[in-house]
Amino acid sequence: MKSLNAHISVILSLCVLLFSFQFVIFTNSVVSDYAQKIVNDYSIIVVSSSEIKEDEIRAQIPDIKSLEEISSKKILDRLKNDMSSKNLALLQVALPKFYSIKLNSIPDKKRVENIKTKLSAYKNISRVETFARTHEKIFKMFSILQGVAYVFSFFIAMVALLLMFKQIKIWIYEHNKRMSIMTLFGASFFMKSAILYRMTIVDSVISTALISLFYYFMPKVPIIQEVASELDILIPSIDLIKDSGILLGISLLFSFLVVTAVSRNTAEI
Amino acid sequence: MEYVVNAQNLSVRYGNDEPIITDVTMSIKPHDFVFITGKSGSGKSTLIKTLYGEIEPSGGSLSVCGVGLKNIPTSNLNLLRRYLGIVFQDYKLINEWNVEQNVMLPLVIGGFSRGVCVEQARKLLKHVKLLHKADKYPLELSGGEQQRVAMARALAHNPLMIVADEPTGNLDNYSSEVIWNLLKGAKEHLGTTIVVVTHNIPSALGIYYRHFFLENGVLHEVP
Repeated sequence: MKSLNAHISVILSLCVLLFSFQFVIFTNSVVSDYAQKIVNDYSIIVVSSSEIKEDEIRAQIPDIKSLEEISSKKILDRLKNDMSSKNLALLQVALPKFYSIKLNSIPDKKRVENIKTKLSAYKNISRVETFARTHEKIFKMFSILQGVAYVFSFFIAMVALLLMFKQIKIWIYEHNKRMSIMTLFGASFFMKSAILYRMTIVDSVISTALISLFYYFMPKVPIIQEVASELDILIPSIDLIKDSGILLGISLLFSFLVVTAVSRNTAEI
Repeated sequence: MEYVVNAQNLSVRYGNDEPIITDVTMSIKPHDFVFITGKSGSGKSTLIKTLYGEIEPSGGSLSVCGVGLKNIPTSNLNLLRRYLGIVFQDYKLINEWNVEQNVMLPLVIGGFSRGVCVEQARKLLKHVKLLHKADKYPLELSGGEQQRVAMARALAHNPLMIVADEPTGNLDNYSSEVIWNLLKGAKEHLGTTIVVVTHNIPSALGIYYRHFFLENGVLHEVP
């Protein structure tokens, strides 16, 4: 029971540490996925009296992903029954050209204004419509949430590390006699601390398994799926081999660092 | 190596306290059997702890197996200790390990293969008549048996020198006799240098030995 308690403290600390790390990755993934969605959905509409060439626009505005002409066929088809074919032909010639401009990355207000000014400077372009406000607000909200997640995860991870430091100190006191005897017989630092490293390996494996399973099953929970679909976000699923491997690596790295730091700072015989 | 231990005007103190050992000059040659006696609190244990590097000399000079112990780096001290066998009054066995594992400790630290460690440990346990208790844990043994295990551990890696701090202090007559015979055997058959701190030198040891007496922090050789 005593030994189980000693392990639980480290497992809990490692779980919190890994949870924070994975949470940052998770938030990043959600935000970047949402940003991509905004970029794909977002376009600037340009009305021009004559044809616009993509290269010409790109020379002025390099962050343009694509420039596509919006066909006027639909409007003309709608008017087919109300107008004669002659008038329709005249209208087709007189109608301005509509273009949809897609950007490489998510636009902020300043950038959109800048693009709008540059496009408006073309003498053939009569109107530029940007529709930026809604997208910008939601994206800003996500970015703030991402920042909060970073800060929150950082502090949680710090608390977890402090708990680990404390628990490893307790372990060292518990194994002090054994380590002292080994020192008297000439054991190297790593040899006498081997027991602590072994214990942290076991705890790292357990905490990695717990966190991996949590992030693996979390996106499959119906209520989470429901919220995600309402917010139109994609909850990323963990790759049990790759991501768990990374988590195990992080867990081992931190626990070995803590064991080494605490053991080195503990008075030697 | 001319001397296994060479101390010149050695003094030892704890922190800023008065020195416990003020002037120790002694030279111990290979294969010597040495007793250090003295009254309680005379600094015998401090002197022996200085020999295996648990306490650092504060003045004079001290070399053990040719290695200077003043300001010795930890890595060198670890290496030196692998050439020593240490026996303590309170045995200092690892209670979570069985008897065989305890005896194997210096061999494992020395980097010997598991096969060699097990073979040597069993040989020594047979020698100290405890092979039948190889799987037992220290707390299942009597004090005398624990000290025999500690002796087997001290001998396991054929050390250049065995330092023993009151090895029979807590033992009955029979166990004490076994320990003295093991120390005598180590000197006679393996040529090991023996340094023992004790209150009482056994009367019928039957070998030549040197006797030092520690009084008020100063060491005198008794002729």
